[in-house]
Amino acid sequence: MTMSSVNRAPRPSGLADVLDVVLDKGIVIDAYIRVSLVGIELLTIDARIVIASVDTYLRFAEAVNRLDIQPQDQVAGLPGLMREMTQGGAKSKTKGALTGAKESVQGALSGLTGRDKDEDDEDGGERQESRSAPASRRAPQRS
Amino acid sequence: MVLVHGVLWERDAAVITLPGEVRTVNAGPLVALVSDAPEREMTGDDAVAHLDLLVAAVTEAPVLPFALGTAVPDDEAAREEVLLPDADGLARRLEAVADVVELRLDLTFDTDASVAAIAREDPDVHRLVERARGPRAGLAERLALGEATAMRVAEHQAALAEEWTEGLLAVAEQAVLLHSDEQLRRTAYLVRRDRIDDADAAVERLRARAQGLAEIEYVGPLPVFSFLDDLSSSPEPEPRSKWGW
Repeated sequence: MTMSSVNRAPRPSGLADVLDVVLDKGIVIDAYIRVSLVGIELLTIDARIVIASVDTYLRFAEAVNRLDIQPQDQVAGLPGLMREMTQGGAKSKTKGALTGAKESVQGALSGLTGRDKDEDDEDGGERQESRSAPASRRAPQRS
Repeated sequence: MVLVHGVLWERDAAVITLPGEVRTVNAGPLVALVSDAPEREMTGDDAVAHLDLLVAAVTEAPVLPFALGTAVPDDEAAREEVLLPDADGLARRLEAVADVVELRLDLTFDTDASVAAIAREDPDVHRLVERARGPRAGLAERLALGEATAMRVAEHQAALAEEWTEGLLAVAEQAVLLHSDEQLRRTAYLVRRDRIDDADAAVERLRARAQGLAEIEYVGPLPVFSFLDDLSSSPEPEPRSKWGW
């Protein structure tokens, strides 16, 4: 097999993507007492958190809002919105909206997974380097 | 402790250049690739080394990847408890992966470009923008706008991805979507070894079409991590959708 001139990498360059390839994948031998699975130090990927869908929606809303009209006072940014969410007057309405959003996103975006907690990657934290989606997880091979 | 990385045919082991720390354990026609487990806890470097070894092997010959961290006390246990008990099953699986490899394609969309296209063209989003900017608008209106935009972005990107990857899908035996979010779509393709050049050509065409709209990461050949179940569950797999779902 020869490597063509196409820009094809032999393996993913980043550790997160390497782990995405090898973690929980491959043939598992578990029927014999002397065969075991050694755990890997997972600090790098345990640092991920699942960002609530609400945050995704708010980011999209702001992205659209920024586009064609001058930003208005009400475009508060996430910290401002969080303050709004915790203010007593807005509580009941907010709760309803959040619940609805969560429910709908579970149906619509069931593949949504993790996102780097630390925001210092080169894309400014925008790129989601994540483990494989739960829905696509394959059961380990059994021998 | 000894780590077992993968299994291949004994006749193929000779053609693969193994790193110094990796050795082979034979049992009949099968060979396990093993190395001494680190004294410390396994780290990301061990995962990289595991994958590098399997990639080096699959470039030359079929290999069955073992789960990262598969450990036995010594080489003899690798032979007695990994290779011998299911030698026929491993041989059947090796046969099943003989002519195929996995290629992966990541499409990382420029979300700003998607949002801009939607904001220009979608009347529903226009209406929701106006609502979200109204004097009495609050979080609910912003969420409605964001949800609608997110849905349109997902649809827009899925449509582009389908269009762009049509050629690659035609080359592949199977494909499976591994991950999809508002920015990244990661797909694994099962491709015959003798069609890798065709896949490369399809990706080159894809790359040209996606320019300015998405970044492409194209990786392989990998062992068939994403298709092991499909390839080795039964000798005669049932016909199924090319997309595997």
